Parts: sequence; structure tokens; C-alpha cells
Amino acid sequence: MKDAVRLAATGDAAAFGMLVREHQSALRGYLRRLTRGNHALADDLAQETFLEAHRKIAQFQGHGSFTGWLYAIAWSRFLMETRRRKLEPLDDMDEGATPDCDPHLKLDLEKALAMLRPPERSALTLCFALGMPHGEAAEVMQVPLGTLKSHVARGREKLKTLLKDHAP
Amino acid sequence: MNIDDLLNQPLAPVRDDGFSVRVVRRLRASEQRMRLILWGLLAAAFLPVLAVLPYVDIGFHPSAQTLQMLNSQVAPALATILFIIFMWKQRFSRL
Repeated sequence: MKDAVRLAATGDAAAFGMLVREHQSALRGYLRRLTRGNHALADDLAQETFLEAHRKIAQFQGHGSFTGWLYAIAWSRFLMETRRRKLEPLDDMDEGATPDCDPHLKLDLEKALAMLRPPERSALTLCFALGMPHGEAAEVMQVPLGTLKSHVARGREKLKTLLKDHAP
Repeated sequence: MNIDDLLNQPLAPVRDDGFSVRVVRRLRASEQRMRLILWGLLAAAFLPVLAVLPYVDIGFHPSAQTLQMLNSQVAPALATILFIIFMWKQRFSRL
């Protein structure tokens, strides 16, 4: 287990602060994608995720990665929120593109991802953008490995079709 | 561009912009609230005991000297100092 995680589990707020700083960017990016670009909601969910992680960090035994454990909390928070209310559609994209990517394609990818079902969006983001192995992504989403692979395959096929229409 | 290459693009970095500080601040506020609630509950649980204590013979028969000390200014001052030290330790031990 990483030192910062072990220290945070003993109630060290500074160590937990370090973990927040380390993971905030990717976690917020993941939640922004899940919420289809609703930055305010994604940040609220990210805050709730970190607070819940802090409450439960003593229960984290080091089985699997801390990152996976954190994303599992985020995914369950997101599901709770989607049950509570319908998410707003993607309306603004102010993040810009990554340097080696065509900005138009990137925009289309985000739009296309927004049209997928949340489990497909999550599975694709975890496995591709965040580079998680399928097994870990399945644990994050609390689904069997086969189901995770179905989400990935179905999501990819839908994306192919959606992006074909936007190809330059 | 291939679909897998597109998906493999890392998520755009999100600037912290005070996010981490807000999380830690909320975390500390929530801990402080929990501590206050705990102390409140303890006090509420202990109040009935204090209320009936004068009417119960618990076998504590202080000497005249002890009673004099308890009735003096020393006891409340000592209690206040202990309380301040305790609260100070609680507040700053995690910084």
C-alpha cells in the first residue's frame, strides 16, 4: 500500500490532501465524461467521492489499487445521482483538445460518448483513457468481467457508427 | 483516425484551482461537526447522572479540606485550563 494511503488511513489530513491533489484531475475528468460535460455536477460528485473515501479509508485493505477503489466510489455516487435526476445534455466544452489530437475529432468523440449509455461510457473511459485492465474496470463498476467486455464492445461499435457521420 | 487511438487519448487534464483545498476544508469541517455532535451526545447522556448525583450516596465522603478546595476558585480554574488544553490539542494535533 502506498505511504500516503497508509498515513491517510491513520487520520493524517495532510496525507489525504496529497491523495486528493494526485487524483483530482483524472477523477474529475472521468466524472465530467460520465456527466456528459456537466462540470459543476462532476465536481460535486468528485468532492463527495473524496469525502466518502476519507470516511471509509480505514476499510481499504490494499486489495487492488487505491485508484480502482476510488473510482468505484465515484461510479456508485454517479449512479445514485442518475437515479435521483436526469443529467443535463453536453452544452459546453472548454477543456480543449490534447496536443496530438485533431480538435474537431475530439469534440465529436465527446459528443458521441455523451450519446452512449452510462455503463458504456464508463467502461470505455476506464479501459481506454484511464488504461485500466478489464478486470479492474469490472471491479470498479461492480459487474462481471463478461458484462464489462460487452459494455466495451457495444460502446465501441456505437461510437464507430456515430463518428462515421462526423468524419471529415 | 482509428477509434481505439481516439479512445486511448488521455482525458484532458483538469486544473486544481482550489479544488483540493476545498475538499480538505470540507473534510475538516465535517470532522469538527462530528466531534461536536459526539461531545453534545456525551454531555446529554451525562446530564441526568449529574442531576441525581446530589441525592445518591455513592460512598464518596470528601474531607472538609477537599470540600473547601472544590468550593474555591481553584477547581473551576483548573477545569477551564484542562478544557482549553484538551480543545487546543484536538484542534491543532492534525495540522
